[in-house]
Amino acid sequence: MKVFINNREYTAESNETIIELCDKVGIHIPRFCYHKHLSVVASCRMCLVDIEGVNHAQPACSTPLRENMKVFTHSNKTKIAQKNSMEFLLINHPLDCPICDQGGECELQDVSLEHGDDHSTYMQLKRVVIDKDISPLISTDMTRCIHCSRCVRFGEEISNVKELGLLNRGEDMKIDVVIEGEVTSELSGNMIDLCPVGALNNKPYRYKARTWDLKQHAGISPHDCLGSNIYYHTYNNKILRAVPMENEQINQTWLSDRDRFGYEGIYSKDRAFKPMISQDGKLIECENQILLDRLNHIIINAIKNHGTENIGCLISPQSTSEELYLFQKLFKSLGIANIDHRTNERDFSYQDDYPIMPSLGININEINEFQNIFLIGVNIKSEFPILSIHLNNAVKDKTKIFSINFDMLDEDFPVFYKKIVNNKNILSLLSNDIEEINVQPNEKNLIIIGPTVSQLPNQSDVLSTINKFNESINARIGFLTDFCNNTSAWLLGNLPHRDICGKKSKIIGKNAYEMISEKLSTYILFNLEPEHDFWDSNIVESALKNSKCNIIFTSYITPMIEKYADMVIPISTFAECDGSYINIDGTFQSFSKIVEPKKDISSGWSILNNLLKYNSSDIYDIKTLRSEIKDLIKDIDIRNFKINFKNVKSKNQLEGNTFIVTRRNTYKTDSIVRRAESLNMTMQSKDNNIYISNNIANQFKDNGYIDFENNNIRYKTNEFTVKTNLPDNTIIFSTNNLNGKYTGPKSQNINIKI
Amino acid sequence: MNEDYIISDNSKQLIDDVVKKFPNNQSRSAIIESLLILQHENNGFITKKIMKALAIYLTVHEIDIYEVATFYTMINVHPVGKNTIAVCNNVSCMLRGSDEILSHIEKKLNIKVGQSTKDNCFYLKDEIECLAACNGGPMMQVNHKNYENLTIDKVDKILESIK
Amino acid sequence: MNPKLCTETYNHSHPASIETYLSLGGYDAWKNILQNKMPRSKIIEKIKDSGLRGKGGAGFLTGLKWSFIPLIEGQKYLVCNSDESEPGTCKDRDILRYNPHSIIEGMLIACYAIGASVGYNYLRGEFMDQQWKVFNEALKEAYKFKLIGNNIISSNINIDIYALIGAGAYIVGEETAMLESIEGKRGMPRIKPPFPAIKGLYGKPTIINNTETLASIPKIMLNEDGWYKNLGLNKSEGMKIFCMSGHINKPGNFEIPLGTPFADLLKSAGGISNNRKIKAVIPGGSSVPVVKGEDMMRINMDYESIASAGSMLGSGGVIVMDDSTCMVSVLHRISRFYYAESCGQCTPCREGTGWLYKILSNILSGKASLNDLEQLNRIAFQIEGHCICALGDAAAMPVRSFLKNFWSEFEYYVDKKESMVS
Ligand SMILES: Cc1cc2nc3c(=O)[nH]c(=O)nc-3n(C[C@H](O)[C@H](O)[C@H](O)COP(=O)(O)O)c2cc1C
Ligand code: SF4
Ligand code: FES
Repeated sequence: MKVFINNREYTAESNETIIELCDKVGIHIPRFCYHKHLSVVASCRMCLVDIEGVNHAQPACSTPLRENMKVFTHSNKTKIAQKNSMEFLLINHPLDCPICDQGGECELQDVSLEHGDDHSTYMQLKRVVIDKDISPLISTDMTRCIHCSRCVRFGEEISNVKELGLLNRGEDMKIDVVIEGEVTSELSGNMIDLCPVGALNNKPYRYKARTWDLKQHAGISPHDCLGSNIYYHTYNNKILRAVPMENEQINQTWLSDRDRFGYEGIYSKDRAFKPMISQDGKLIECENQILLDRLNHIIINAIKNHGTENIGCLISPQSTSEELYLFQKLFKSLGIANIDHRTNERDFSYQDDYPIMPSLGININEINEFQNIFLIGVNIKSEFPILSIHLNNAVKDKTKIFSINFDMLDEDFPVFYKKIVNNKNILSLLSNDIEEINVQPNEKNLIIIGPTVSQLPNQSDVLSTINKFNESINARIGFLTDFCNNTSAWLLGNLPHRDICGKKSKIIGKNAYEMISEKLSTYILFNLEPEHDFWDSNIVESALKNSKCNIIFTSYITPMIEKYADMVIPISTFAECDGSYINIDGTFQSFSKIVEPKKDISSGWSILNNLLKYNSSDIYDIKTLRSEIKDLIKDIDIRNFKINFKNVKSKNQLEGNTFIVTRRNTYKTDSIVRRAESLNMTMQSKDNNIYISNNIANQFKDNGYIDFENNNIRYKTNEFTVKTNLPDNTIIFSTNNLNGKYTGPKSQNINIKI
Repeated sequence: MNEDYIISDNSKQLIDDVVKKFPNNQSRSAIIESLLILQHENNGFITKKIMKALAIYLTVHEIDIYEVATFYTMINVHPVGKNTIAVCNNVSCMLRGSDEILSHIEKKLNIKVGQSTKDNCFYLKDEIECLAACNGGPMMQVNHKNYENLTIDKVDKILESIK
Repeated sequence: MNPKLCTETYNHSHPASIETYLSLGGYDAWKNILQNKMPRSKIIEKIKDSGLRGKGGAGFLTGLKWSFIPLIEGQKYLVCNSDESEPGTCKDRDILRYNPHSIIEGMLIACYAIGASVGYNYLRGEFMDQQWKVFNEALKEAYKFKLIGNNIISSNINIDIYALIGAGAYIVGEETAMLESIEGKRGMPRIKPPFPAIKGLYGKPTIINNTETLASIPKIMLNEDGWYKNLGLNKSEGMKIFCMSGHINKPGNFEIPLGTPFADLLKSAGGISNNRKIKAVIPGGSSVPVVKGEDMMRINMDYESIASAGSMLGSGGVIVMDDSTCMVSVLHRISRFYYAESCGQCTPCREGTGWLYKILSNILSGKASLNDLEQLNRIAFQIEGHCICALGDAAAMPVRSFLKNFWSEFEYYVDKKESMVS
């Protein structure tokens, strides 16, 4: 279709609006209410343009182009119309730009410079709106609101958590919440970006800097396996805020609150700043070079004195691909086979049949092509907020979601079928009872296995049952993992049974659970918090206590590290080093250092690199390192994985009368977010309830107790909250360990006595 | 104090009938009439607890209800007097003397428009809409019942009869 | 004696009862259509040919509007607009309470013609006490007589009609705002395109018609082709109810042929009260431009004639003002209304209506300057044509026409800080 804009000919697609075409070809049209990912409301009237043959200027955002239409985006008529809209917008807008955080990036400011008048003829009283505290993440100044309704539409259309609404009407219209402090969406921060003025502001960033002084650095989210693209904004070598970097394949123009505010965790007071060695039971600071020499010495001696099988090397899948690669390379080159990253797991019988790496099996943005999606053991809303946007879209396109989870389900997209299960009845559900679901094998079906499954004491049985269930529906099977880089951890061989790219190891080492439960002489922990990052922190504690030597590479000094470390090697967080992650759809994404670390903190990969130098001739700079990794994995195709767990079987006995599971609390998932101050003030973080099923509650006696027999823990019955929709004999801890109370296994069948 | 609002069985029945007027899965459509029903049950106004209870009953977002409740002027989100008086003072009625009627009522009840009497007997609504009785002006509605061709005498009698 | 369409039952003792309606030939048109299995297209053609124009304000040809409904199968809806809130308009309320069955029959025929199985009649909330009850009662009767519901008169046709109630919002009278309101949302008008006939209620093709429009349908269908058209006078087609209010002796609703001279209509309404002189008339509800009394006396009550006087027939709400009227106060009152009723989404309407009202308030309280009068004109001009719905225009047109026709009176007020007439 032929159209003319400012007398130049363009080809437009049918149904394309004026603004869409102009955006595509780079003709600027001012706008406030229009946003390409939101519905068009055409209410701000800022985008009015002159169309030949039409009496009044028309909104470019809602007017579809017609054959031979002639649009003038800079004619006098256009200019006057836009200037008039601007005048209306400004009459009730406070002129407080000097104290407004949006100053410098305010669309209103920009547009009014360009289109507005230099004086106001409005002589009446201005509207004032009283502010409320809506969330620890967003500060409001609602008098500045220009009613573009982007924030409301975001809740309605994108996050599907509608918490902000338009109240009253006409001039008194305002954006508000029902209950103060209760904007709880895990995507709420996006409303800050969407707000074109300074009405919704970034609370932690408030008054920290002026935007024009900030430096922008590209980064990749380290908090979940989707790998959202981010810009970090720094001032004086400090990250002050994060905003989304557009990536249509992954996070579009959005960011989860965890990704947006998680960086705060790198400024935690308990950062490990200095290399330390224990002397007479106390950690004392030392020089980096002394430390490395000593470290090399200790490892060599440990091998000599206790044998390689007595050394356990554990690394967090939150580490970068470079770290993961060098970690296994270093220790395998020393003949150590006890290497693993699966510290949250208990049941490993599946491991030989596991694909080369966990993956979604499809691209993230292909998810809406599926007709039926089964979510097993995952709460997308809180664990993978960005994915919930994709699923919400999928549901609008008629995808049906079936959710089977161990926890209460609280998704922010409509779920067609949901069932809360325990680790035993999920087996029967998938083998028999699920027949009520009418899903055909010739439909496009997808099964997504979530991170909670991997924590189950019978995960192999569950995987095998899912596999058998899938024979009837012929779905693609994909995984979502608990950290941002499990893909690399698997692919690059941080496993006791596999080397790089899934090659079988010559010697099979011990898995993560065996390493800590069999009490080895030496432990090397990389980027792991003993308190939180293990399936059972009690067992870790006793392992660390009884070993001869504990070498801890860490960004944070936790109480257990302080108590049991023989050597602390401070390493940088994601923000202070170069690195890469491979996300769950197999995208390899690299990033550069955002801020300089403190003097004695080095990046993990360079320390490993230095250690490697003692024993091998391989030395790297980041570029050769990265290209070596990329070269090794270049033939991997995530779409070609066949999942075959049919014959795996758990070896663990599920003896207890009660199923317990700890929820993967959104803002406790990794060591960095755990320390993000603002996130810790959210509603999600405040939940430290222990939920129990009805049938347990029914056995309560007045002033009674519940004893966890195998763990010797006792709870007063009034410490529990009853959730009627839980299956019988189920206890759910909303967080693990953080309230200092429950430190046992993340998921287990135990005996309780009331 | 913190107990949830419980919708009476009678109101539930009425709301169910409203929901039936609409296609499946369109219970949101029932919000407006349901609010009128619940407001009637609750002395003429809606509280946040009522909105919450209704949101759960209709499975809609709480804010959806709050939005609607504050958009439509016949739904009060603040407590008001038992009997609502709305004097139409739009053009047609104004031309026929509604302003005198209104100020008479204000004086008589000792309140301004938008206020309720101290004994909570009357609420004098700030009626801006035309009440579609232009050929009977001046007119007012007391508890939605029309009284037309008003004179000051007539108004006095009507208000007496309600007290 | 003029024939009566919507007002036929008004003088009967039980005007709203189905017996009264049936005794006057009510539902014959509907039964005819069903018994003869009249093709939909034929109904639409007939309505189109009758020249029936929408009575809600815009005067759009009803038959033409119906013909926009896509022919494909699937759910469609009819909505009857009984939100009647345009100041000066009070016709639908009488049809609702005195002749509800004409609306029901009209809705049934319209549903049939456009292929809708569900019709909603949306009544404004203020009709709760009387019209709402009467209309619901009438619906029950119609169901009892099996004129509505499933398999009506063994025709295999299923049509259900429900009454809905609003809760106080003028803007909901705008057709797309009404759809939003039926969906349980704030009554904020939608952008067009898409038009409701393509994507309306719940995203389905929907026709919205005014109460009077639909109540006129049965008689049109019952009579021979050309009947309705020829009822009009002076080259006009059809009938219209005019609501006479203001400074007149016999305010009321008058169903008269379009094209009737205004002078005759005024006479029927008893003439100007207190023997005063006519000063001005708002001929179609408060949103249309005001016309000077002397100009009004020269024209006929039809679309073209009123347009030639610079105004619009609108909803038929005729507000008559005598020479004691202060035009500044009247305009102030009108602005207050549109200011309070703006839904708030469009910037010019949200911000501009308040600005207009505040300036007019300043004039009344003696705090304005002549500059402000220019300002009023300018703001009105800036609002006009720049909003999603016509409320913005409705707020602007009175301002511009009052200023144009009565400038000296405004000037006087600003200058002397008091009204020219009192
Ligand atoms: C602000 C505004 C208010 C309106 N109010 C009413 C109303 O109260 N009643 C009505 O029938 N039409 C009203 N309309 C007109 C409707 O939008 C619509 O045109 C009409 O219902 C169509 O019916 P008709 O074709 O039978 O006239 C209003 C329009 C606007 C812009
Ligand atoms: S013109 Fe006014 S009432 Fe109409 S949609 Fe816009 S803001 Fe709402
Ligand atoms: S961007 Fe087009 S009207 Fe707001």
